[in-house]
Amino acid sequence: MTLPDGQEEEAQGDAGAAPETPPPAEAAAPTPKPAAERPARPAKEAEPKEAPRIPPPAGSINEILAAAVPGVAMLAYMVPTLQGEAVAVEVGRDDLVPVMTAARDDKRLDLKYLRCLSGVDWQDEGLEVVYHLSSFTTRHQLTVKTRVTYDDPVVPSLASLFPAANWHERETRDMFGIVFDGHPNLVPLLLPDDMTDHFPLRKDNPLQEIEEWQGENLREGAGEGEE
Amino acid sequence: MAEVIAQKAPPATTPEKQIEGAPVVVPEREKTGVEREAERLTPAPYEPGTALYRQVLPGIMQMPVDALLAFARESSLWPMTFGLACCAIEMIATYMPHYDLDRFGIVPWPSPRQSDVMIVSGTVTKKMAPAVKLLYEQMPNPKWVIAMGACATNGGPYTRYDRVLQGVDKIIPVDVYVPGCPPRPEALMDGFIALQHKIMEERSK
Amino acid sequence: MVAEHEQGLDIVDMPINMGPQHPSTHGVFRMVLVISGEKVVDVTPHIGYMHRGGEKLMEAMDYRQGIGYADRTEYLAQFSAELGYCLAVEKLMGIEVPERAEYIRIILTELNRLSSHFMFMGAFGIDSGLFGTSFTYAFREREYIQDVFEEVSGDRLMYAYFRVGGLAWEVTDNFTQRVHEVLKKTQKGIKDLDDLLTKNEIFMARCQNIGAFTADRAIAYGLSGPLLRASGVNWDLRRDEPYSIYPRFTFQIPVGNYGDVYDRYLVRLEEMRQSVSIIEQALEKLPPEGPIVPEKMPRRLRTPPGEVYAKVESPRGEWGVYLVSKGGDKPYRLKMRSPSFCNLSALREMTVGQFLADAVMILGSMDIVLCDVDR
Repeated sequence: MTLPDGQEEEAQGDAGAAPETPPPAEAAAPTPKPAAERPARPAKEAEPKEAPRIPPPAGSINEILAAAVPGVAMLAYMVPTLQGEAVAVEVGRDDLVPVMTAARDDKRLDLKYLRCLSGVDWQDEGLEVVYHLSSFTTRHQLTVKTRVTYDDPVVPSLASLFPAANWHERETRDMFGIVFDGHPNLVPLLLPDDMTDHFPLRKDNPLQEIEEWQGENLREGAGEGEE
Repeated sequence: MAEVIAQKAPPATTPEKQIEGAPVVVPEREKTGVEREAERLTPAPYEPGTALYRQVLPGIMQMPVDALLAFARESSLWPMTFGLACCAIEMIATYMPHYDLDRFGIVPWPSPRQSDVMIVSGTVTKKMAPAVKLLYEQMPNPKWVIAMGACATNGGPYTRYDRVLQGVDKIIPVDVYVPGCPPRPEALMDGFIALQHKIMEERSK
Repeated sequence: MVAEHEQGLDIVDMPINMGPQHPSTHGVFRMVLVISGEKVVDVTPHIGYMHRGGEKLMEAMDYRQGIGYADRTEYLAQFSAELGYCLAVEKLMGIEVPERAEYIRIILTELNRLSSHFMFMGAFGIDSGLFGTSFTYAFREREYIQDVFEEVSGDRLMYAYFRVGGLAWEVTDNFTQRVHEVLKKTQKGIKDLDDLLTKNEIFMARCQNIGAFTADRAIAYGLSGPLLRASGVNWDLRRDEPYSIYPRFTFQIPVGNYGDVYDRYLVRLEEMRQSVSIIEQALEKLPPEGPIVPEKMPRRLRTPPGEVYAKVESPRGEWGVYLVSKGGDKPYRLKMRSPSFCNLSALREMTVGQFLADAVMILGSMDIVLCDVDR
């Protein structure tokens, strides 16, 4: 439950801006004033909805990657990590397998360790799959993202390249409905077999509020169970 | 006792009087401190058949059968080891020597066919629910269920997710609810004692 | 199903179902093993019996309520989970944690590592056939550590003591003294368990050359933590991708040779001793006074839009929090990269070809936490 913007603390502005990313984008029109009985506070500038994309500095690994897979359109920017920043690369769905193969096999990158594979549901912009790779020998870290639409949520599977992706892709299919093309065994992993039709982590499946649950329970006469 | 002690000491002064079978008579002498203490501590001789309860109720203990059975059942509750989630760690800690449930007669037993109580400790999901019900049905009567923790009571912190069963009492009848997230071992012991009271009170059902 | 005819007998492979309720599956986990005689031919793990939607629920909770869910997901290494969550949010918000809070966080996290490894020792001893001895020893030690946690945070198991920016409240006055006492008892406890298990002939026979996993396969499967180190990969997030104030401590990383179950046990045993050393160093350097939250702490925790992948070394492996925020006080997407999930995906390759009794040992050596696997 968000408070109306007029009630924000003054100190919020200092802690809200991350020192690594540059100042947020220009403010939109100021938010409307709250109700009349509250004291007038300065209207806060509307918060940006997207993090700004800083391109990586020269010599980063995205250049090696681009050289390894020529002809692939990729958008590279920096994302924060606990140790500083790392390179993130967005590629199209069809270029995913060549890019990941190059990332794994190229000796300068040697990104053999797939740490994490997750899906994100950007409602209007589609579904996204995010891969986090890293290497033990070269100590590089790379985030690869690819985006698909709701109508065609098919992403090529990386289970043959990275065995670690096997279960992660099954889980992402359970949670988001993204179909991984070429996966050896895409059966439900976490969900019960009879409840795999709607996908929990999509934004159009909200959680029920507590009051609804309690109302339902009281109507059904909970606590009696079956004898 | 005095004659026993006397018989141990060889009668040095009257060897010629020892006839086989005849009791040895010892002349009077002063008793030692040990003998005096032994006399003082000697218990009264016991004759079988003279205890008090035999005079009042000769050889019979009178108790309603259902109370006796309830007493026997509550003193030896064997829970099935059914730890589902985080509450299982507290359940195990309650079995361990620091909070010892064994002194109540509660011994964890892996097989459902030979256990009395099922402690549902942890969230029951809809995928797990048929297994829980099957295990409950495999337990022979009389059986009881303790719902340990908030998740087993009504879904707990995960109640809003639709693949979580809002309380295990939706599928099996529960006798004791132990609240907490997770409940302290003392709370689980309190739950067992409450179950013992319940068994005794509802013994005629 | 393979059928052979030998002297007129049909020999077929038999599927055996282990779980979801089984004394040795460490939670609700179901394995369907297909065995031929005593050798395992195929393993199909079935998980999801504890899938409670932690990630979905954390999207509906703000950054203070979410700490409780992180606790309950990894219920044996709670402080690691809380630390990962808090570090991710602090990175996005750009908050700097004060020194004293950092030291106390490290002390508590390493104590939690000790208690989690004690639990592993206990459960692993049971898996290998010790009928409860190691469990009772282990829980005695855990009770000492849990007493300290209870004095500090108020709860025995679900601490929720770390907050974004530092700690919830100040520790007790006798905190350092209590931790020193506990460390003495813990060192004795480690020695007890060591004497009980390590050179025990039966234990060694049950553990050596079981479930060996080479370094290449371990990296390919995304294993982390003691499993990865036992396979020979010299990688520990506390040293190689340091977070918080770990660079200030000197400690060693035990690395195994063969990647079998015995090596994993030895790696965890040595990790416990290194944790004791880290705690002692931290207690010496702990600033006696200081704030535990930064001065300019906002009342409502709002993150700017962005994403971060924060990873910490939990006793099971790499616990990662991939946090995507679109502004606001709740995460937009929070993925918990759980070490048990990734470690468990390698179960099939480790178990095929071993005996049936060893399948239980391999599962026990992975030290999985089912709520972590299913979230």
